[in-house]
Amino acid sequence: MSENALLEVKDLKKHFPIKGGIFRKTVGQVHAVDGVSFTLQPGETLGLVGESGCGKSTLGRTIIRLYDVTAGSMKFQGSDITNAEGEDLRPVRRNMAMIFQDPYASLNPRMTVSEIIEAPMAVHNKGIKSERREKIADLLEVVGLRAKMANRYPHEFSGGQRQRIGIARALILQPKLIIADEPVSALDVSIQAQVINLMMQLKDQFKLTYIFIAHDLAVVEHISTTVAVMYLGHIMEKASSKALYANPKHPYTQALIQAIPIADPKKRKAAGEKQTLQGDIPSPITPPSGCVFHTRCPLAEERCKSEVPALRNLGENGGEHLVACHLV
Amino acid sequence: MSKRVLEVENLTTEFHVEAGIARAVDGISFHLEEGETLGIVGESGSGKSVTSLSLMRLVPCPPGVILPSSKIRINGQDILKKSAREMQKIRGSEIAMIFQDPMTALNPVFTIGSQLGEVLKRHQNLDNNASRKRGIELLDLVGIPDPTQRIDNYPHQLSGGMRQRAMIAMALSCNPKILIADEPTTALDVTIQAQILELISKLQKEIGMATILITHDLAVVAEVCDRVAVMYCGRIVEESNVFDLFEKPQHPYTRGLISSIPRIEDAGADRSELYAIPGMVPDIHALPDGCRFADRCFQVEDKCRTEDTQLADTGDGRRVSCLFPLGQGAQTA
Repeated sequence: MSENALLEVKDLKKHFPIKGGIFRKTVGQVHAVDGVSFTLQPGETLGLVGESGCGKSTLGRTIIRLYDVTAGSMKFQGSDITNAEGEDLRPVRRNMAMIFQDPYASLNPRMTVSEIIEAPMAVHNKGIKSERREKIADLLEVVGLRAKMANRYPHEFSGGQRQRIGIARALILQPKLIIADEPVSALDVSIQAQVINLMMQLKDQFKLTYIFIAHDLAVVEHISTTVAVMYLGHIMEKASSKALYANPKHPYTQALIQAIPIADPKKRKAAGEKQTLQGDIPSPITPPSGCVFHTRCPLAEERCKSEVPALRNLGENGGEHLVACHLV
Repeated sequence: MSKRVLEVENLTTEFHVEAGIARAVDGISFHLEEGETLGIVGESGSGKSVTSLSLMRLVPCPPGVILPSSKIRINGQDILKKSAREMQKIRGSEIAMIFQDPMTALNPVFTIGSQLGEVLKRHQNLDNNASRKRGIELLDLVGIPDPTQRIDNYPHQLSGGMRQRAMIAMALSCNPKILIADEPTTALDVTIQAQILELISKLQKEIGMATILITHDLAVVAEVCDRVAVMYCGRIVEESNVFDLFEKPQHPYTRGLISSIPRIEDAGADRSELYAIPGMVPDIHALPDGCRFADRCFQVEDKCRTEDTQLADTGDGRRVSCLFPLGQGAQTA
């Protein structure tokens, strides 16, 4: 299995130093990603869900090496990319691409659409001018825009169209892996559905593997084959999308799924019937000891405060269902 | 029939900008009954937030103008005829508002206590001690732990959920009859969103105020609202009780919106394509002549492109603005 894995992440950590005082000494660490391991098979769509501050975006950005790794290791297509630099990083970046959340901030307003989409090809010295132009025109049609729009500027497009431009830019080098960081959360519902459909269609067409980062569990359920739930830099539960939503095992996942409003007034729960998670997410600067969720967990026991639970496989029939909880 | 605390008639709000006149809200009428929760849903640019600002008379003027033919009656009094000074009395005590982003709605250089105190001192003539005491009571009411400490905190010392709670405390401080909540949970995480929605409906029952919940999220509407108005391009296209709206939407736009939500309850079902409404919202400066949804509608006919639609009664207190409402036998699809 693991020889064919597209991406293998082992015990990955990313801490950000906090500087303070007149000498800018490091006075603390933000434990954004704190020991995450998983493997990603080609063709899989891994959904990363969690609330803000859980480290899902940092994880995505560390994988594509926008951040340096604090500890742990990553293998992409069999080669170690943990500390790759300069020329070694080039083939990695060619095969990985990122789609960003905010379609307004992630496109340079001074570049035309064709310049934006061409940039990755220029960086990687791919093709000559006429070939590039042809490819851009094709790709614009693929993502549902018109080829003649290539010479316009980003401000002339709506949010949904800009996100399509971002997708075209991610696709231009024909990457194996696309990391999509909240690609639809800035869009209206009707446009959101269009972009999700487009991403699913492109996945089949170009044989892509996705890491789909989002806070919206319903969107993640729709697009993902596997889902990992993160909380304060840790993966709490990881299973196939089907198993995770039908049979959530971790108390945090259960609370998260319960908290989602359901678009059907007949399924409305009476007040008090709903188990609402109390309190706020603790600070990642001083994460709780033991299980990081114990401060909000309705089932927490004494040992949850001291012992860190490991991810254990509780899957039945050979399926993988990893849960990090002492009590299941 | 219960009492109508708010009646809006033919509300039209325009913005006179360089590109021309943008009619953000175009002649909408609705009412709010005592104790009920009305949801106003729509996508960005549908005019839902301008509607709420108009109700508070907080539309920046210029460039905004509420046309004189509009009427907003709170308990029978037309607030559009009030002077600015009278309006200050009405805001807070009759009608209060909570905003989407508590970080920008709260003043970062004053403590929660002094911002709460300002409201209490102005509207209820409390002195410093009394307003501090009442402030602590209010923070306790909205579920802020340790209110005696928190009252001296600055907004940045609170989490997003806490800030939203503080803002709710501020809105409730003078027992308003009407609370307008403009996307109160959009900036929050799901678990915090659930806490805040629960808090709003609990307080609403205790205090008995009527609430207008403005949101883009139909699922939130399904959870908390009694009645819903769907807005598109500055107009209400459908109004109905919440159960009928989700079961038998009459406007093609409403149906499209409902079908385009990914649903978690049928987890494991085939991941078929989501229904997506084609196209996008038309430019406010170049609205089509006929029905504004015509270009994106699956059952559009020639008549839709030339004839403007009116919000018409369809029985059971439902209203829809479509020449061929769904479920009426006249549809082609």
